[in-house]
Amino acid sequence: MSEQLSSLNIETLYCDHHGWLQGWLRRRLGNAGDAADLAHDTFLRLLGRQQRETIHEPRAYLATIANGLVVSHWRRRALEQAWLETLAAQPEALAPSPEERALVLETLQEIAALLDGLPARVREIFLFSQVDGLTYPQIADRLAVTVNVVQKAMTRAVAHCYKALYAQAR
Amino acid sequence: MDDAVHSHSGRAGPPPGQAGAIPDAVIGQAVDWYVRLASGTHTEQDRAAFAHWRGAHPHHAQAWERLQSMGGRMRGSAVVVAPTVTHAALARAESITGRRRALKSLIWLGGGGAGLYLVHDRLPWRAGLAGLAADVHTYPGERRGMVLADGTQLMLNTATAVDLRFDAHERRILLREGEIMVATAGDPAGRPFVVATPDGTLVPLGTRFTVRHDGQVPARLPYTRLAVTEGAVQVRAADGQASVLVNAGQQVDFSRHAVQAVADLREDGQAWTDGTFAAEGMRLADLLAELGRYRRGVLRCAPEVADLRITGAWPQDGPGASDRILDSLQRRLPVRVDRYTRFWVTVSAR
Repeated sequence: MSEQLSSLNIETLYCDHHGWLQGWLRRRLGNAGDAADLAHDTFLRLLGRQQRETIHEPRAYLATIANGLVVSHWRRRALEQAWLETLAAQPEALAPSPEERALVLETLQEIAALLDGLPARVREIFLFSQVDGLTYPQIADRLAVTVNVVQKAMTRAVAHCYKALYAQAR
Repeated sequence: MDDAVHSHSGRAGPPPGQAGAIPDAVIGQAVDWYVRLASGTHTEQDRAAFAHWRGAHPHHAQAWERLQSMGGRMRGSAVVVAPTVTHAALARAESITGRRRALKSLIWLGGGGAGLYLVHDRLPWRAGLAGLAADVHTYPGERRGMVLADGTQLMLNTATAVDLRFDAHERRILLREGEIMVATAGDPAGRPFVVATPDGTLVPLGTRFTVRHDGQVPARLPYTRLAVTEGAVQVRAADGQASVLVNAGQQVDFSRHAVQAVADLREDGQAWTDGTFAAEGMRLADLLAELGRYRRGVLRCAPEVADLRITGAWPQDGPGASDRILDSLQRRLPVRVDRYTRFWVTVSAR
């Protein structure tokens, strides 16, 4: 039972498994609206794949793609929640407009994705340098570490970012 | 997510027609130069040496260009989000994902057809800025979040009563009964922050934590439970002298006479802050006692089923949430739920 991926077969896959996938996602997410969106995204991902692959277990295959989407969905939600909570803690905070919300979340997501996998301290040092624009002695002072520690953390973080951005490109 | 990152930078991929990958050694050199030039303490000689290196080979220039573009985007982010907000949001997101991950292991165990799930929409934090001196409370089954005038976030779990005493010298929250989550904010006026219960006082040191005071548990003396998820909190029992420091990832019970031994934080005790009622291998009798906090009336557990164990997580917000949890127990355990009136419910063997 193997299927060659073509748009025709994706249509078959869609007809046969879309309902199942949506139910599967709903159980994971606890929310029918998000489940419908992610089911849709899963098939979009499938369409976006250029290589012709042979699918032996269509549901397992779909679930693997969908699972990745669920993980980034939660991550996005966590970031959004964290941002709103941070904002709420600001004394003069105003409710952000939808446009501002989208822009800020996109920016935070980009930074979070770039720094994903780095220890909190290394990430902090990198942000102080690259976002706040502090010098190494200033960072060292603020975090009560040596300049050498700051330098090492920066080397690690910058190399990490390069890899994250250009791993495939080389 | 990677896609999101790539799509922003038109220069992300190698220029078409460029032959050969950049060697790892060159990338390493570029990283070293970047780190040196970002220090804020580099010299003119450094600059000159760098210019020489960059001109020495097209690969050098190309690797450098990529790092520059990354740095530009980081600096650009400050225009959209204030740097302090970026720091705080990323750190907080990590702690949220961590808590969620811990909870997730519970969720899958619960699986099955019972419709167990996790985290609905978060509370609207901005729902109301509480009046300074107003006393606040929630009804059974209700959960409420608010931001106090100093920026501190306060969330009340079910059946909770709190007094807010903010004056020129002190910010004090008095927990009379129930459970709260506090995420403190620094006070511009520098006033100390104190949470008091009838059992003692807590002084947070820049922090996020939950406090629960049970004053009327049958067969148990009144006690308070403190659980710290960020920072640290100092505890002192009302009649005690010494104070105990409780760090992030720890919890402790105390009465007005004594502070018990500090223990590891139990994640299922934190689930309510995400709107989830969670149990991890919990005895049915204990689960029903917990659930009783979320509803009015009597919820009785028959002795023959008291020791059944259950793991699961359910949404706790909204009308009828505790009834749905009871229904789900009936489906998953060999028990029956009898409702004599809305206020008198027993759970016994089927």
